[in-house]
Formats: sequence, C-alpha cells, structure tokens
Amino acid sequence: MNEPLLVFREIEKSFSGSQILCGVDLSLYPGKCILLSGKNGVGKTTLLKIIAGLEIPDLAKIEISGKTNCWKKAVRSVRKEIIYLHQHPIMFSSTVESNVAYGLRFTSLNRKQRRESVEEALEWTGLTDVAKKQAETLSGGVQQRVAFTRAWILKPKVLLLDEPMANMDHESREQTYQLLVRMKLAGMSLVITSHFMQYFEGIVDQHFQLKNGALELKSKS
Amino acid sequence: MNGLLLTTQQALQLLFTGDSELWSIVLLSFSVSLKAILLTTPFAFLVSFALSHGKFPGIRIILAIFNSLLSVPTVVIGLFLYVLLTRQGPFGDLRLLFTQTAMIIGQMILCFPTLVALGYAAIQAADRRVWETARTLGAPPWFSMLTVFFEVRFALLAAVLTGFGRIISEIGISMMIGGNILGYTRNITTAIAMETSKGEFAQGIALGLVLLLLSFLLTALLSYLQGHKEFTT
Amino acid sequence: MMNINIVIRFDKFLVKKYLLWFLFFYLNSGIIQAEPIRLATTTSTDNSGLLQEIIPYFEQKTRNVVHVLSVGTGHALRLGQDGNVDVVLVHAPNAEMHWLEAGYGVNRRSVMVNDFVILGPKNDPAGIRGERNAVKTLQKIARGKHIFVSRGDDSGTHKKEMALWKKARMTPSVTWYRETGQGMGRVLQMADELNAYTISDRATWLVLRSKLSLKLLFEGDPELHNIYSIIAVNPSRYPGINYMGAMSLIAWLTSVDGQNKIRKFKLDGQSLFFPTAILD
Repeated sequence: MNEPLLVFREIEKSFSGSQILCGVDLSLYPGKCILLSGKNGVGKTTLLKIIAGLEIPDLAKIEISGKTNCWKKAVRSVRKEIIYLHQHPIMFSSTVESNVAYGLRFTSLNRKQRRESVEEALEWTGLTDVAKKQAETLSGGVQQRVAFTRAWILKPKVLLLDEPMANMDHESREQTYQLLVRMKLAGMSLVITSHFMQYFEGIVDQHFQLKNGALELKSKS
Repeated sequence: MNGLLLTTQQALQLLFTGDSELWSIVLLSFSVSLKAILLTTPFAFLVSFALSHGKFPGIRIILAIFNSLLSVPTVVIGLFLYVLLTRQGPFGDLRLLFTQTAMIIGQMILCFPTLVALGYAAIQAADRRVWETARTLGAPPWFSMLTVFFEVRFALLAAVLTGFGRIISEIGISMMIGGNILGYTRNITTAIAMETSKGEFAQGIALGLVLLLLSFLLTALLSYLQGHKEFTT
Repeated sequence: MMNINIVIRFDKFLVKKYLLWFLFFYLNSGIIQAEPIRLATTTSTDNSGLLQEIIPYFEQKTRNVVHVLSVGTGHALRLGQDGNVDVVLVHAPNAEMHWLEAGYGVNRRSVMVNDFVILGPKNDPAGIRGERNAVKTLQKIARGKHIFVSRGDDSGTHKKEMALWKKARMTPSVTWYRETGQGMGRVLQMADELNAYTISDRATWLVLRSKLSLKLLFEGDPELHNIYSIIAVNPSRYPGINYMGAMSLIAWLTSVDGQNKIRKFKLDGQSLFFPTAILD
C-alpha cells in the first residue's frame, strides 16, 4: 500500500439525538476502491456526504500528507478533489453536453479546451449520440452515465458513489463496471456504497461495514 | 343603463384613440411597478434562499413574519411611509415625499414579503440534489444558488408575477406618498380614484379596463406556468 | 452550453442593472433636477379645470415646474404646515387666518372669488326656490327634514356650509343629514341618487350638471361667495422650501397677466372665477 491521499479521522455525527457516526476513520488510497455496506439508513450516505464536504460533521479531522487539520479548515481545499454521485443523479435541465460541461467553467480551461474536453469525455462514455438531447428526457441508465461523465471530466482524485448499480439492467451494470475499472486505472480513489457486493467483484480492494456508528473491516484484498 | 353603455363607449374611445393623458398614466403605472419589482426580486430571492438553506436560529419566526405580512393593507404601508418621509419625519430631509422614487420604495416594501414567501416555497420544492450536485462539481455557493434558481425558474417567475400583480393594482401607497400629481405621480389606480370622485366615470372605466386586462393576462400566464412540468416537482 | 452561460451573463447584467438604477435614483432625488414648486390646493379648485389651463402657461413663461397636489382644504393646510409643499391655494378665510397667526405661512394674497350654489331635486319639496337668502334656505331644509348631503371633510366647501348652519342657528340631525367625507363630484352624484339637497361650488356643478337630475335652486347671496387666497409656506420653518418659486407663482397669479387669464377661463360658456387681486 502506498501513501494515502487523504485520511479522515474521528468523524462524529448525530441527527436529532441519535449518534450515527461515532469516531469513524477512513483512509483513501489512489487507484484503490473501498466498498461500504450496511443496513438502510445506518449512515452510509451521511458518511459519504461528510467526506465530500456536503454535510457538516459534529467533529472530524483530515490528514493530508501526514499533517492533521480540523475538518473546518481543511475541507475547503479537500472538497475540490472529491466528487459525490447520488444514487439517482439529478440532471440539470439542459442538454447532455451542458450537463457534462457544468463543472468545467470553474477550471482554468479556455473555451476551446473546454469544448475539446467535453467531446473527449462524451466519447469515453459513449454519449456522443445523445450529446444534444435534453438530459432529463433520457433513461435512468443513460442519466447515470451522464452523471459519471460529468464527474470524470473534472478528473477528481476521489469519487464517492452512492449505490451506483441499484435499479440497473444487466447491460448498464456491465458498462458501469467497465467505467469503474477505467477510473481506478486512471488513479482515482473510489468509495462505493452498495448492498450488492457481487457486482463489484474484482474491483473492490477493501470492504467495510458500517454498524453502530463504526466501520468494521470485512475483507481486504 | 343607457348612461353606463354610453360611458363604456366613451371609455373605449379614449383608449383606442390613444388619448395621451390616459396612456401617460398607464405608462407611469408600469414604469413605477416594473422598477419596484425588478429592484426587489434579486434581494428577495437571496433572502428566500438563505431561509431555505440556512441553519441559523429563528428561521421559523422570520418565515412566520413574512407570511403574516403578505396581506398588509396598502394604506397602512402608505401611512407608515408618509410619517417617515414627511418633512418633520426622520427621513424628511431626503425630500422624497410626492415623488416617483417614494412610490417605488413603497411598492418595493409591498412586494418584498410576497417575493420572499413565494420564493421560499419555490426553493423548498427544489430537489436538494441540485444544490449538492452543483457544489460537488465545484460550483461556488453563489453559482450553485443560481443553478437552483434556474431549476425552479417557473415557480420563481410565478412569484414575480404575483408580486407584480399586487403592486400594480395598489392604491394606498401611491395615493398617500405619491400625491396623484398629474404627469408625475398619477398612476392608474390614483387616477381612477380621482376621476370617480369627480364623477368622471368614462376615464375611470377606461383605466379600469386596462388594469382588468392586465390582471387577466397575469392570471393566464400564471396558470400556464403552473401547468408547466418544471413547476410541479 | 445554453443555460448555464445565460445564467452567468444574466448575473453580470444584474450587476449593471443595479448600478444603472442607483444612478437613476440619484438623479431622481432632486439633486440634479430643477426644483419644482409644490402647490397644495383643494379638489374643487383643481376639478374646475382652471389650474390645468393656466399653470402650464405659467410653467412655460417662467420656466418652472409646478407639482399640483389636490386634496381637501384641511389637508392642504396641513401639508403646508408640515413643510411638504411650498405654497397653498385655498378658500377658507377663517382657517387661513389661524394658519397665518400660527406662523405657518407668509405673504397671503387674495387671488379670485367664485360662488357656491344650492342644488336640490327638480320638484323642490322644501320650496327654497326664490328664497331671499342662503340662511333661510337652509332653515327651510332643516325644518322640513329634507335629505341633505354634505362633504363632511373639512374642505372649503364644507367649512362654508358649517358657517351657514351656524348662522341659521340649526344643528343638522342624522335623520336627514348625510356626512359623506367625499369629494364634490361624488357628493353631487350621491345627492342625485338620493334626490337630496346639497351645496356645491359652481364649477363642479357646471361640469356635472348634464349628467345629473339635480337642479340649481338658489344662488347669488353674497354669503355664498368663496374667496380664494394663495399663501407661501413660511420659509424659516424648513430649510429647502422653494420660497422663490412660491413667490413667483404668487406674483404671476396676482399680476395683470395672471388675473386676466383667470377672468378669461370659462366653463360651459360661463365665467367661473372673478379676479380680486387687482381691482380695476
């Protein structure tokens, strides 16, 4: 195991009195994939959102290259490298192209570079045919791919996927699997929550189960 | 009955022959109300957004206050402003009484609660995932907010139309702090009040028809928007 | 990238628009514009149409802008007292004297005079037609308990009416007396509907008489004369009162030119106002 990209320590979060996460630690390694399982409502999504910077934990620390900072101070810089994907991603009401290009405007690419990047990304996921179509009108599986492309184009270091294969037919699952493999190869650190461990065979490096507010290591490859 | 028909005929004549005094009154109504709504909307929606996404104490109370302000009688606002703007009042030095600026300010105060309350409802109805997706893809908070606004744009537009309908048909404020000055602060509603107090019903009816037509258009537009897919989330 | 681009451009546009409106407001706050002369007058004066005719002439000639606020007499004097207008033109001599004594106004000039008339139903149940004077007509109306519609709004017309009731030593009773708090035009319409008596300024009567079934039953008593005066708001009470503007309006109204214009104003072929500032 090489150096971790990021380590989250002592994450604590409670909702209306009940403690969902009590001191969770998680290390993210480049090119490695973590699977998170656990009962519905146990807090998997909350954990992912905290890592993505979309939810505020009661307490947490982030370790970058050995230096530990409290979550509040470090989250701003860390957030930029992490993207969270919803279980049912929401499409902006515009074309597939627009959706994919959304995040690019906050990068330093110029207009020409952005267009090229979008074209390349659409090809990568096989969405060139539907580029000009209104994203909300497309099927769930295609929307999923649009969401992936939207995230991939920004080359994040960490990708968090919430139940990525739920409600997918066999073909879509195959395509998604291939995308995940390529993302791993590209060096992204993946964290996937799912009930269906069998779908991710071959890509998962670590499997944790979230139970009673803590992570239990289930297996390690 | 004869008198009523004759008056309506005269009214329509005034409208269609482009009676300049009449149309200058109509123009003034629109000018004042459009400015008021355009100036209030951005800030009001910012407040709506803060109330929707904020985590500070007292949000519920603030919302309750705005909801209760939705149907304040316009004369009350007019009177309140008059006291503030009169020469002896705290803001008398600004010499704003009996100006269009004062009318605009008054109407801004009038439509603000409506815009905030309806804007809040629109934003609340927005899918939380829009905000989260925007943020996680790197959009700064202000741009993510605009993205959310875009996704609920029809509901927001309906809020603006509702607010506009309220202010273009108000009289309490225009009369009190506008003063109904010919060519300067005389708008549709103050003109109607004045003409009828003079017994000149033809002018009053003509202006009333314009206002009625406008309110039909606004209602039709609102129904169209309510039927639109984006509105029903 | 249709939508998001539009949103970004729209945002910049919003900023520009805000700046433009602030500039607009700045311009509108009177700092740069020529200062208007604010005249508070009564609704009956304004409704006669006299001001619509002669004020634009004055504006052009002296290159001024006059903002006319037409409200009840009481309100007009109040506006002057509060410094919200620069000059008042009213027709309530008693109220005016008190106002001057209190120091609210200066340089009062008598401008013109018109008269009030007493109107009533065609068949004149109180029998006031041909009566000798105004006080006697009111006494007849009161004794016969005929419906009488009043302004009830502290206007010049109302004050005149009250003074007459006092002279007649009668107190109107609610059984036949209707205090409406409305403008002259409305009052005439209501009197028409109720087939009632009322007192009106001649101008409003002339404007509306073709639409009413009321008839003019009594006129001509000097008691019914209505004297209009113009008074400048005391400039020492508030900084920034447009005193020079007020005085220039007073000067013109009481000049030969202004007085002639007043004399020449006709409604329905009849002269309405008789100039009193300069006696030939």
